[in-house]
Parts: sequence; structure tokens; C-alpha cells
Amino acid sequence: MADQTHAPVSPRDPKKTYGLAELVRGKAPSSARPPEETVFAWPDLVYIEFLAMLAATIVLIVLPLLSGAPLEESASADTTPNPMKAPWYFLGLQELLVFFDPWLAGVVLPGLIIVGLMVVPYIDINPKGIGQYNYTERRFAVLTFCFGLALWYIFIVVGVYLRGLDWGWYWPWDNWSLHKQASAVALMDLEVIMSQKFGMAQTTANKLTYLITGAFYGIGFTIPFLFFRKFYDALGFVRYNLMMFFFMTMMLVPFKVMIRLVFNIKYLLITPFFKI
Amino acid sequence: MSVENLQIGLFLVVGTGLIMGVFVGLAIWLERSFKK
Repeated sequence: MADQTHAPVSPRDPKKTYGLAELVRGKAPSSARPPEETVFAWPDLVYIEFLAMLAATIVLIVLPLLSGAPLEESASADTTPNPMKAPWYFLGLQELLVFFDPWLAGVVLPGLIIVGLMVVPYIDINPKGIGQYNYTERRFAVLTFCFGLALWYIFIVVGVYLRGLDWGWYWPWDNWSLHKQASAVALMDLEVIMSQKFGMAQTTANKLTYLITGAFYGIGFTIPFLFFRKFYDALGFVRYNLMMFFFMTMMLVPFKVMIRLVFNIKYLLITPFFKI
Repeated sequence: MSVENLQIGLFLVVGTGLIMGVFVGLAIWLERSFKK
């Protein structure tokens, strides 16, 4: 009787490494639909993409013909505009400077946005909705992304339309040529407020602000873990913590803006290295 | 909390909500129009 066990066609060489597909376990993303219900990338998709590219090119050529770039006179020490505004697409970042330290607003937060977007494909292992527009199966992902994008744009709107002299807040119906009176309530750091209200030493209050900031992140990390355990189980320890770090840091921005507006808090946390 | 801060806070909340609504609305519309 012939031997039924064949030698493998391409035996594994233990000294070699194979491609990434060989090393990573898991299913390749594929459509659940049979071939007769799918279309080819070429020509079906690429043809439409090519048309879209042509349309975009035409728009990009026609737009600058219709309206010139808002270039101003050469910079001069004699003319120092107030306020000095960045190009519109950077005004969101400039607006963040109101609420955060320059190196946080200008370096760390934009850096985290870029890194955060880069890690999305590694964190997001949910195979649902691949290759199609999908909201119903990807609510959390879509809502989180849209919220972050909305935050980005609301700061740009504020910077472009609502910031006037000395970077003060001007409504469209305000007189934009008058300087605004400084607010009667001065901004104070949280530790100063706490030490005044509760009569504690400022160093103790400072330590408490570490706890409060830690609690902000701690609550954010714990709630989904306790109440949406499926979420944690699907992602695993490393992916979950990475995602929650980026998520909570994104939420820190509106949080900081709101505590500043509501409680007149200038800094939530003061460390020797940075202030939040 | 001053009245001005309240107005600014409300503007930021409503504004963010509106912009987010546009993006989410677009996502829902895209999903619907591509579904058979």
C-alpha cells in the first residue's frame, strides 16, 4: 500500500524567516461575498478613481484662478498686526496655545495626533466594514474619529472668525477695533485654588493635582474595562491601553477647555517639566 | 463663571456637535447609498 503521507511541497527551513503573512496569525481580510457579487479593482474601481483625480485636479487649477492667495506685504518691524494669525489651517493649533503650554500645544499634541493616526491600523483589528463605508457596525470608531476631526475644525473656526485684538474673543457683533476689558476673574492654577479654598499647603495641593490628573486618565481607562469588557477582550492589554491613552489625551483637550471656562482654572497640573 | 464664558462654552459645545453631525451624517449617508 502506498504511503499516504507526502513530503511537504515546500518544506520549512528553520533557519529562514518567511514573509510577514507567514509570521502573523489571523485571517486575511476578505469579502464574504461570492465572486459573482464582487467587481474588479481594475477597471471598475480605478476608472472611477481616475475620473475623481481628474475632477480634483480641475478644481485645484480653477480655484486659484478665481481667487488669489491672501498674501500680505513683506514683513516689517513697522507694521505689526494685532492679532498675528497663522494660515487658517494652523489656526487650530494657534488656538490651542490659549489653553496649553507652547510645547504641549505646538509639539506634543500635534505629534500625538499624527502618531495616534499612524497606530490606528495596528490598534484596530476589527475586521468589520473593511473596504466599504460602514457606520452601523463601526459606531465607536466612526464617532471617535468624527469627534476628533470636529475638535480640530472648531478650533480653526474660533481662530479664524472669533479671535480679535490681543487674541481676545470677539463675537461678530462686537466692535473689533476696541480692546476688550480684561476679565474681572483672574485665571488661577488648580493647586492655588485648592490651597486657598481648603487652607492646605501649596505643595500638598500640588500633589493632589497629580492625583486628579491621574484620576482623569484612571477613570477613562477603567470604565470601558468594567462595563464594556468585550471591548477589552477583543483588543487585548497592549492595544487597549494604547487606544485609551490616545482617546483620553484627545478628551483632555475639551476637558481642559471646559474647566478653564467654567472654573477659571489656568493649569490643571504643574510639574517641573510641563504644565497641563 | 462669567456670562461670556458660558456663551463661549455653549458655542464650543454646539459648534463641535454641529461639525461632528455633518461628518457622522456623511458617514451614514455614504453607507446607505452604497448598500444594496
